[in-house]
Amino acid sequence: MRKSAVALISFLALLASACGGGDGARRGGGGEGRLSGTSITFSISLSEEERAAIEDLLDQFRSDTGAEVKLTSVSSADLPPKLKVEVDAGRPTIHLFAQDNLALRSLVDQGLVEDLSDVQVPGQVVDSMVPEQFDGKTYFLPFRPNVRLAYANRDRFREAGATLPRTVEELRTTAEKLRSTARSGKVTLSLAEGDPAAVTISEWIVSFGGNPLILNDDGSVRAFEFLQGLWRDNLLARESLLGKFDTEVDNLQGETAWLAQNWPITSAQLAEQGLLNRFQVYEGWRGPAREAHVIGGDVLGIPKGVTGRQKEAAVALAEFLMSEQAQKLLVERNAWPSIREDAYGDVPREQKQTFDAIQAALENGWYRPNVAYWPDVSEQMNAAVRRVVTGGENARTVLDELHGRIEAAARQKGDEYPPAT
Amino acid sequence: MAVAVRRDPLDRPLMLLFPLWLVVSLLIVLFPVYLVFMVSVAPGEAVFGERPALFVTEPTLRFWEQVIERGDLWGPLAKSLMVATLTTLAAIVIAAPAAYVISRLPQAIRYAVVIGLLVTRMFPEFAIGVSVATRFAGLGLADTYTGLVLAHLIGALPFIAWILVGTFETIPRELEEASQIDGASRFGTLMRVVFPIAAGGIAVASLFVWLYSWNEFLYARLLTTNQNTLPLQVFQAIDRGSRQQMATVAAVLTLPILLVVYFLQRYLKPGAMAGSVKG
Repeated sequence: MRKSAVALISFLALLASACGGGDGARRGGGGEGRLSGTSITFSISLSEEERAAIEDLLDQFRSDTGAEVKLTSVSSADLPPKLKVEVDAGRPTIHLFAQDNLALRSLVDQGLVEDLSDVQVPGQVVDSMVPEQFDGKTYFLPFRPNVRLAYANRDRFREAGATLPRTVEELRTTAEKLRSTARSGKVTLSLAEGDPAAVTISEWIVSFGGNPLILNDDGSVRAFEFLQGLWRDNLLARESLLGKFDTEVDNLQGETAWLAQNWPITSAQLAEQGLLNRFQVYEGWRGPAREAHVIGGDVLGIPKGVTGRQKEAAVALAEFLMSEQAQKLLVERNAWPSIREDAYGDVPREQKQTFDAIQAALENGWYRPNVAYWPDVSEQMNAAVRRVVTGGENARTVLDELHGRIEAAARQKGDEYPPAT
Repeated sequence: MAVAVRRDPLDRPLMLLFPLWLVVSLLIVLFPVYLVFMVSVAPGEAVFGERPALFVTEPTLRFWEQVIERGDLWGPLAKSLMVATLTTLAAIVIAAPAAYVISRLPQAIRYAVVIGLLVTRMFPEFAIGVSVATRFAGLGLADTYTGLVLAHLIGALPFIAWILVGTFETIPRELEEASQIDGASRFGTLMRVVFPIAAGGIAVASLFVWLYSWNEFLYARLLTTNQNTLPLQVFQAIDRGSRQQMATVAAVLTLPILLVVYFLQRYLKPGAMAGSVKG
């Protein structure tokens, strides 16, 4: 056994030493500049296709400032517990992060982020792209807006004689045609438990003229009755209940869904497979009251406890990422819509359709309100999906009950309720 | 006088069914592994549609080339190999002598200690993980091999000690007494008699600890920033990558496991303890 063990350990040590230098996140060292000698780590969740442009931007920042920047990737769900560990320990290893703007409240409530009220947001940034403040303070800076788009399978639509639905009524008609051809529902809505269902339901309520914070107003009731009808008549694929950003890509690829809504990363993943041209990408449908798209995307923040030269470098990098130069490059390379009104560029041909759809959807963007009781709103919207949409209970009765729970939660947390419109 | 051997009437059908059962079992175990490798070489068309192909007629190595050219798997691979191997070595060095001592305690005390070891594994890891990681980060152990090895030992030590107590219990004390009568010291007996006999059990325990550390996710996630472990890299591919990227990274994750199992497989035979005591 001893010989084998020695051989195994030697092999592993050799392999480790051979591979040890392969830190793909680190490219080049810092050069000369006002921040030379300073090293920071920037965390952002990226697909492989999006990574190269960010690395090029960081190279540019390095040569401009002399600061060394390591790129790492911590997912939106993993960032809060990781920051909690590091902030509580007083030793942050992440100095600037890009985080999903639908997951910010917990970072503020737990005291995990620095107050950035002193950082100047460029005047060319579109007002609606500036993240909301919390208690009058700026904790997050704008970086990348995002919205969900609709993806329609061109071939299947042609076979079914269906057209792209632009209203909820047309959505129902289209779903009926798809069901007739496939003999089962071929439209998925992202109704997976948690944030996916909350985002979908928010869009439906607002597009029917309701307010998700109220949940039992007329618009909300009509939205739920409409969704209940779609479900009852088997127009929605049952996989909708598992629908979220990753499963929806699978639904589209596997043709579980011939029509689905999802975040634009879908386009990058379909393009990677050479499948994007099979789909018509567009902004989606409007409700009786308006068109509404929850504005997601990433905002920038600095963890609590980042100080001195590292904070200076983190702020400088945030300012660089908001600059015209950086935003223009992200438009041209990644087809990310810009936060700025002056950052135009030539979008890659394959991504043009997606980019145009994002721009169109952003015109009807809707920011989720930053209220302390949003987790309770989200929980009750999820409960409404289970009881009204799939459970078939009376919408008005259930929503009255769930509204009561939201009101109680808001009062318990000391928030004004009903909220100012 | 010839003795007639009566055969059970079910013997023949069972003998016929056994190979079939074996094949079905193998398929159930190996099919997911096949799917991972198959998808990793599948072009986009092959995984598109309601009935994706089970066989790839025009395989592509594009995703493997991307993984190899990009090079961002080698760092995580090296880190995972080092951490898993160091955790295993440390766990054996610490737990083997401890388990031997526990196995020689009076039965009531031994039982209490073994139960105590298991109790430590009954708490949900996440419940203590954040607190432990915070303390480690405070000590400057975040993003270090040492921190991750120590964190993995928290979960591995009770487990390996529990397995080894069972192994040492089966080694008769008479062997140790015989060794000492022949002039061996206590330590010499341990090294030349007890541990060699327990090699099979130690190998099994090592394999479990290595696999635990290799696949560990929680502490890796909380204590790692600049150099992922391989499971984190796989998670990243699942989170933001295509099916083929995910399958390729998952395939890379399985390859070192095959290597380690190959090295340890000779000790994983049932009955490795047989023959240690002659009647």
